[in-house]
Amino acid sequence: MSLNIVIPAIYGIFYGFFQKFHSLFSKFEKDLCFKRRKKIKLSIIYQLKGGVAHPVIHLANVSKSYENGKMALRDINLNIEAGEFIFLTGQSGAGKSTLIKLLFREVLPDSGQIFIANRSIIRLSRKDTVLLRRNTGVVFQDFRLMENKTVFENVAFALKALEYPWPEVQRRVPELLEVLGIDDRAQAFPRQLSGGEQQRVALARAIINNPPILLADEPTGNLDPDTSDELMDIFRQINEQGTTIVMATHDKRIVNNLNNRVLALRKGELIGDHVGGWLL
Amino acid sequence: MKMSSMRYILPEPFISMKRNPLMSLAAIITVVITLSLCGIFYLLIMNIDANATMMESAVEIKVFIEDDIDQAAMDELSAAVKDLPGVLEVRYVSREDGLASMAGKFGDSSEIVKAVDENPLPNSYTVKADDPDKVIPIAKAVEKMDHVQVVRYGQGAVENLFSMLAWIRTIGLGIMVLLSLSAVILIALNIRLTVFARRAELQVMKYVGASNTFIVLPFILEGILLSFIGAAIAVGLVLWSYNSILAYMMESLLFLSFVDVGTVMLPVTVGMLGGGIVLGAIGSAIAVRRFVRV
Repeated sequence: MSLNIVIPAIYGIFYGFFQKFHSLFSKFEKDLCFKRRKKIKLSIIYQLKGGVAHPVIHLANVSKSYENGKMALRDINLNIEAGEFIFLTGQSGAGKSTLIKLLFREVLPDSGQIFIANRSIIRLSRKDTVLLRRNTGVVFQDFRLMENKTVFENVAFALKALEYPWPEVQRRVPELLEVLGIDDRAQAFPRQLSGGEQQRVALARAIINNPPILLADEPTGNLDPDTSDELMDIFRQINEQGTTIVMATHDKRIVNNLNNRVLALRKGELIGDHVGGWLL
Repeated sequence: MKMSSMRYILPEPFISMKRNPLMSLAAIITVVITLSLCGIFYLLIMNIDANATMMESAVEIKVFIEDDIDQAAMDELSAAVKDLPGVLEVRYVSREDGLASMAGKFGDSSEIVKAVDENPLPNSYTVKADDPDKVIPIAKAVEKMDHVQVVRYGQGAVENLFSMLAWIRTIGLGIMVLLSLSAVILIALNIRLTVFARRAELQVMKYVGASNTFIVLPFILEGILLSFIGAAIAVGLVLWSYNSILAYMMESLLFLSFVDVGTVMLPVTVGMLGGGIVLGAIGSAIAVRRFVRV
């Protein structure tokens, strides 16, 4: 066999391997990029992209019906910029919770597109869904803490799941608990805490890994006015550090206290988008 | 998932067992009861099988031969019988030996034998088969040979015995399968309940962005741990109680033979522990998967 057959053949084999590895490597690189976003604020990424202010959250013609066929959301179009603190208002059943659920892919829309950081979240692999959730903190009206875990363990779980090394977990959790004023309850179980304390734990769990987006579904719904105000103060501070916050609420008082952008929903339709105060 | 996450996952089952003592206890008790039932029934079947095998192997073929044949013909016959497939042993019993053993069987009434003037018995061969199933074919083949007067193997009774033993074995196997199936269902249901009670926790784990493996693995390990504990208790319980009633049964039920504890120790231990662990793992994996679909 002459060399001019053997050498191209060997080269061909190596080239095949090279391409295989190259595609593997570029996939790996892409994953790394997406992972890195959990440490860098989304806003910074967007500034790097030629200074164009892309929306962090973009909804295009999103519709969603409940299981009983009733429309929960009808043709929602929405842009939310990085660093905004948005109130989502409306009566019960207006579609606030559904909108929040759509944003962390708890449910999928019937039609329309949802982009987070310029990436559609409709068709995500299981792995990318996990990454999306790591970039999105969520707080609920009913706190949703793990009943069999202590306060420390509840918050630490979010870091453990993200594979943070143990020394860092041990350092960061007490730090955050102290900032939120519940460091003395670290070894208590959720049932031993007051509502306000439980919500702080839930908030700590949501923001412990510093996600660029924080979603809150009626976080003050079960709290008295004073506790609500304290909690809203914490939310405001989180927002000041650059986190985008979307908060569903039907509490006129807290909406009027802050001069934020308000999105008003009624029967699944977006009927108002303005800055400052309760509209309806 | 990184291997370093194992340091977070491995302690979880133990912590969770401590924090949910009642639920863990319920799961362990379910495993103990169902696996003990299986174990006890397995021992029962082993003993029935041992007795059946003993009865079967006690079946012999008696070949009575004609009186007036010479030594050469006798050797030829015994060689021919020995050559048949499945023949384990051919023993020559002379008419004198036959009478003596008959007298032995009559015991106290051996005067009956003395009352006979002349030995009425022919010379015979006692043939043993290596497999009870071959007794009848061997008997049929020997019957056709020359110089054979008559062949006896308890015609009728043996066929009945064999078919009865086959039935007992089939029914035992059927009940064993049913029992194992009910163990599988009971343990799986129990794990499902346990997981269902903690589905809120699973939900939260999803919200913070835990990967599926990170959520599911502690539950699977917990399932394995609980069923391992349950199976270990069941193994101890079954073997200990079998050992303690064995001596008593051997004394009171002389006509039966019993399987030694030593011979069933390994299959019982391996079967129950292995079965328990596999059940726990598969049961909890299936139960958790339902609630973690991202």
